[in-house]
Amino acid sequence: VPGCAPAGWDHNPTAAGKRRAIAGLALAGLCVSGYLTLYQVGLLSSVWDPFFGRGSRAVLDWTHPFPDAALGVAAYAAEVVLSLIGDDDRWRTMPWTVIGFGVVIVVGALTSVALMITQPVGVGAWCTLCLASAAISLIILPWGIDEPLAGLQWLALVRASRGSVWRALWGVHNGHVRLASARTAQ
Amino acid sequence: MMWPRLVTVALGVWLMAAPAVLHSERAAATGEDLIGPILVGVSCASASPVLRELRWLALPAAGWLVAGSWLPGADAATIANDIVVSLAVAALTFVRARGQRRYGDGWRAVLPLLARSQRAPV
Repeated sequence: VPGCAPAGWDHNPTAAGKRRAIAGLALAGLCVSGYLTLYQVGLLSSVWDPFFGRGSRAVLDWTHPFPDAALGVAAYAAEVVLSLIGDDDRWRTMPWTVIGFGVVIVVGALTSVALMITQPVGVGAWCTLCLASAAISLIILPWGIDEPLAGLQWLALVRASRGSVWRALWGVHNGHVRLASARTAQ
Repeated sequence: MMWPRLVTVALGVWLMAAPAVLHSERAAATGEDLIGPILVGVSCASASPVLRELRWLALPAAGWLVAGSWLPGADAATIANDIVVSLAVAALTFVRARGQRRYGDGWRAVLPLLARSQRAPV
């Protein structure tokens, strides 16, 4: 069992290698949504689509003048940053990072499903890169959802030790956290 | 072993493509346009052992697909496709992927966070 694994786990959900891989995938999503944003704000006159021709333009113009792909840029940027912050045991030392990451990937996945429905139902067209961005979000969700679970389990353990959940959330250590750590080690 | 979820993702993608492939009427295709992405999303999420119970959401989605396929304007190919896919999705939902990993007490361990607050001793 890895040294940084939470109590009862046989692996560390916040191992550096896994987080780097997720950050790489999120970076790919950031590039895709960034490219689509450039079209939506008028810096590119056309958008590449190998399968649906002018479908991408129809989809991306649907929200004009609001560049909704920029929201994807913000979400993927947050995923990259939140993936890279902290050490291997950040589920315990910086729970806010894993919980924040969890919120972003859940919202990203839900938004992706909504956008996949909107394309045929609302616009009547498909957009290849929009689907690629949605696919990235839907891969990251199952891959990374154990991180917030580990963080929340830790906060529950701190609470059971009658410690301050608020302080533990931000990684401020106190006696109760040491007590919870001892329980984890048992 | 998460092949049931991967197959369900593939069926969801197929539903998204089916209206174009089968040349469905627009009204009849709406059910597939809705349920396809929902199946993809639910199956991707439940590919994680910690979210695997979400796979049960595929059951009402499959039921909705069958019910919606009988809307006026649906052709025989669309109806047949929707029924076959729904049955396959429903059957796959009952296949529980066996996770090899341990996650403590899972989400149950988080429940104390929802309990009424206790005053910490000084």
